[in-house]
Amino acid sequence: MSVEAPSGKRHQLLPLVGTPITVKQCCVSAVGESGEASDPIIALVGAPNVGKSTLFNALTGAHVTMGNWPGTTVEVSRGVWRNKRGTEACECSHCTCSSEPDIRQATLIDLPGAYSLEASSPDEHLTRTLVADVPEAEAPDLVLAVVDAAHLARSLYLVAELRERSRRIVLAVTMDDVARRQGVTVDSYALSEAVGAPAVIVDPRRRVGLDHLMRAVRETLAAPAPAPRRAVVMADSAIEEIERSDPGLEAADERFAWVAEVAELGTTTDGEERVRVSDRIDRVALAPVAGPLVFLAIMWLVFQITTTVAAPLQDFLDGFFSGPVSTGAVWLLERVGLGGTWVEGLLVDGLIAGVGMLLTFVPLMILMFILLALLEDSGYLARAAVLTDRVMGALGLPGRAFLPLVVGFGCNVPAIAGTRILPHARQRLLTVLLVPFTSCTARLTVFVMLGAVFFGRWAGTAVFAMYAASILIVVLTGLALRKTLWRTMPSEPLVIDLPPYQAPTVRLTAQVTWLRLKGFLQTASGIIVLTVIGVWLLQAIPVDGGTFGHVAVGDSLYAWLAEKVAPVFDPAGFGQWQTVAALVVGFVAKEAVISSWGQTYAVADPEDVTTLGEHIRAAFEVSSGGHPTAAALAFMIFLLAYTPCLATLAAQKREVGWRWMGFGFVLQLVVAYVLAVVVFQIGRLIV
Amino acid sequence: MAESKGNLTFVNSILTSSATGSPGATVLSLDEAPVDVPVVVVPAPEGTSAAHRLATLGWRPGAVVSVIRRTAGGARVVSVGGARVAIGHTLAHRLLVEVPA
Repeated sequence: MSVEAPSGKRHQLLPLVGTPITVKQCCVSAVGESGEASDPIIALVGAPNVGKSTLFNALTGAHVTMGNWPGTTVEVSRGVWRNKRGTEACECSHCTCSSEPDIRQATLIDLPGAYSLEASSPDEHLTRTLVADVPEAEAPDLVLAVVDAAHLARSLYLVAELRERSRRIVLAVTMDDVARRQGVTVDSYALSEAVGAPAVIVDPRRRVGLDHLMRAVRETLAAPAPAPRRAVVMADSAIEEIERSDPGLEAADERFAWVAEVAELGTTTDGEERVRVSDRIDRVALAPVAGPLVFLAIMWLVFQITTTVAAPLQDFLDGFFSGPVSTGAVWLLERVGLGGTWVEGLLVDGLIAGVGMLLTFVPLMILMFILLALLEDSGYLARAAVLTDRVMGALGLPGRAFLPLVVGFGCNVPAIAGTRILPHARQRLLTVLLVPFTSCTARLTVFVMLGAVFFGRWAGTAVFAMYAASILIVVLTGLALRKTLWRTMPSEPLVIDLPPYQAPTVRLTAQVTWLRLKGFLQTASGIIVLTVIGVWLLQAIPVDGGTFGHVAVGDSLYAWLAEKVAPVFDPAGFGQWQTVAALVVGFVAKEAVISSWGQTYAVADPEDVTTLGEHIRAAFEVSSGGHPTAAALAFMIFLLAYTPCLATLAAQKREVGWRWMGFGFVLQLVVAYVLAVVVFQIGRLIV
Repeated sequence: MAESKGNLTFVNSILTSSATGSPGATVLSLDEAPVDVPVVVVPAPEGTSAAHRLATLGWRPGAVVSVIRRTAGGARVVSVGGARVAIGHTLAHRLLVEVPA
């Protein structure tokens, strides 16, 4: 097998090569309750780390939908920017506010971060397609370009390219406070003159300057689109032609010269080089020995918080659903004459148990998403990418591949979507295959439970060992693939912008956390609830006596199926039908493993971990021939390495297609089985 | 890899005395550049990957940059136009800078 993707395959990995529909086609047809077809469409563009998404969130508030751009795999947020028309007088001296058109609201599209319109990743390709390559009639009504006051020159290259087209542009200048601390002052009026488009200083984190921004947008929309900045006016197709014949060199030189001139005109510097707080922090955070130690400490803290803080909340929710909610439902069903029937089973053991399980999962996800948002927003994640670049480089992956892998420890599904930040199809494919080996929080719940049952006061260490094993499996599998199928993949050099450290804002963290949680609930809810109902159904179908809905678990179709598969796992020490049944459920969703045990052992009160634990311990005692601890460890390793969940498979299919998804599925099963057998066979000699 | 090292040596040899025309200046690869000393960016060897990306970040021939620190893993944090850019060890070995005399 080769990973030299044939051209057709590449299209699948880079679906943007086709024709994603334009903003007008998409937004005009999609506006519903959140907007109207007559609303102007504004595209938000800018380099990564300039505060673009923060500005988007500040402008749109809660009126946001997130999703893939139609026909592509690039995630784009779309929101409504409402005009809170104030009555205050205009303070600016260079506009004519009286002739403003009345814009109630605008549709705002947050395009992915891009340094330039060079299409080196699917994200940048989409920005280019939607903003630059389309004919004027199909282009957004206005492009809102976010530029970083502290690093104006680097933000302006994209603006230089945009100004070569006939587009209405407004600059939103962020990070003014950071720039001032560095002795750089932006003169927005001079900057506007130099660029040929209005420039407004904003601070989206503190919601400063947003009204001025709306005013500038209104004025710009009212005026005709400005002429392209180059002296000789060229059609878009002519620019394309020049860029094709001359791969950017002369054009790029001209743009850099323009950028330097504009930055010079638009800013004043006091000339002092300051030792910055971020530099002082980096003296430790990136140091040869201290850096990796700090990194490990932060990772350890993240998992400590998710295990110790989430557990009581989970227990409470679990108890609430299996206790009062279930009892209430039983009482209600008895009142309507359905007590003790299969309807009660479906409702209590299927639906309520499923929803309850999904909700007990929520605190863990919230905590993980908050922590990730904090790491991201504070600027530390970029440093982590630098520290891990060499390790990633050994796998042939760039430092930024570290990001999806870290996200994978929260949830594999967004992590696989996150591989889009990698510019090359083969790097993405390799990362997509490695992400499922990162131990997500759903697996954590099972590890914590098994840790408590089998390892007592060493539970925390056992859980930590699973994370260490997870990293080891990622690295070793990556190395193995790199040495075989990915032999010819070139390495991507590390070039990463280190944003200044900043205190994360509560509002932004909460917003990001909520969006991610919503995404998780949307992907997972159906699968989880349906699986639990499915398991209940299998358990309700009798094989060995009983009637539908009234059958001992051991006599059901579920037990019969699991028993047939169980002997396969004898060499790993857990070849027993209850355990195997849990693995079958775990294939669909790991968070269903514990409740599957709860159902198979028919524990009256699944909240009572002691009772359930005793059952599980007894089962492992038998299946392992007296080495339950070794078998439990082997089981945890298997759980770590095989298919994380159906949602992950779906995400993989979406990113790399059926064939590679299938390859990954088999790869994980093989790795999981081999490791589990090895761990048990060695472990039984020790414990 | 051997080929690229060969290129580098070749480029080094022709650039050593002529990058900015200032006599006594020495051309070094970025990973050899001293810390906290302003240095001038010299054109990178042909075919250096990420050249365009570096350019958009301000790493252009003639730009004055300085290495702020070496990091764990051998990367260099470089001050480019006031911003901090981390450059990995393999790329740092290929990029050239000139230390003024």
